[in-house]
Amino acid sequence: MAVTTPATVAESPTSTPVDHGLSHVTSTGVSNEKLAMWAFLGSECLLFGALISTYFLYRGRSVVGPTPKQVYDIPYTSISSFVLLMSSLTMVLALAAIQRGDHRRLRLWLTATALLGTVFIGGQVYEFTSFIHEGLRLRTNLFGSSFFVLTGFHGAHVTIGIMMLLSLVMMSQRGKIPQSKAEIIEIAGLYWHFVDIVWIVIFTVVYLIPSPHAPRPVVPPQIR
Amino acid sequence: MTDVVEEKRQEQQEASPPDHDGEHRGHPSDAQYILIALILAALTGIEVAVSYAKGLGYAGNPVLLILAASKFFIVVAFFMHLRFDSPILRRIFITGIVLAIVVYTVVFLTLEVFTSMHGVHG
Repeated sequence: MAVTTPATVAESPTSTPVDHGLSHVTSTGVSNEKLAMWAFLGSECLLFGALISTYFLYRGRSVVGPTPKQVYDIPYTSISSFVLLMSSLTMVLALAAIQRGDHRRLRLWLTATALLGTVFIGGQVYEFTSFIHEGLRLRTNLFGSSFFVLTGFHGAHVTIGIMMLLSLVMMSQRGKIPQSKAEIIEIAGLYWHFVDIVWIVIFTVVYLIPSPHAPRPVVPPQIR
Repeated sequence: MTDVVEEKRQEQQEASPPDHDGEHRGHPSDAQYILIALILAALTGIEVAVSYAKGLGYAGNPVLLILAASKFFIVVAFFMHLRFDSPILRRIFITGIVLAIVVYTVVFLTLEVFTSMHGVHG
């Protein structure tokens, strides 16, 4: 999709990569990296869609406890959600900082984002531990299986995001993210915001919307 | 060849202004980002309050879904800049979302999830 620029390459020094607008000229008007990230996020909608649907499908079908009502601590999870939501703010402030060429604030906001993400993951670890103490494990019932797989996958995404952010902080410290390469931060930010919007859906569908009162049968009656 | 590239670049600049010249047309300012975050926090607070409102029962579910959808679109539009970015990015992302909704709705219909829920509550 990228337009080749032989003339430009010939004019540029051979030791340094071409780092100006021309290398980003594409037939779509968007850089390939950004396009690829959006395509990846589009595919991630299907992945998390599958996990959320599975949770929804198994809701209220567990034949043994603990049930969501017995283990959920909504005020605690609300605070975790707030923390992750605020990390999206610090992420976007980091992008605004590098777009202004303010490297010090870029590192500050990136570190703050990573820190908020770590708080969220710490909260999730605590939540998982308390659930296990209350008798809910991956194999306990359908609720346990679908809940741990869904939130575990999300937690893994947040953890990857934290590592990405810390790598960017180190790259910035070494002067490897000039203002002209602000798109690197933008692409990392897209990933981070995506894990935030996935949590927005999980928080509502999994935690806030109550399960049906009566347990539904696991298999249709005629099969049983 | 250089003329072709130059022409292409001009077209691209006209279609979407460059993102790395310190000029980000239409992007919110830092203060606006903070305001958006406060709106998101307020919506989260309302969500939690609605979930605790005993009188609403299952009628609260559509309200919760609308609030979640609002938060989702605010983050995508303003924090992910999809509102200001190239339409092709919007199309790619919306395709992913629509595909996910269609595929899993078909799964639910196939497994008769909606009718079995009706059977329990109805």
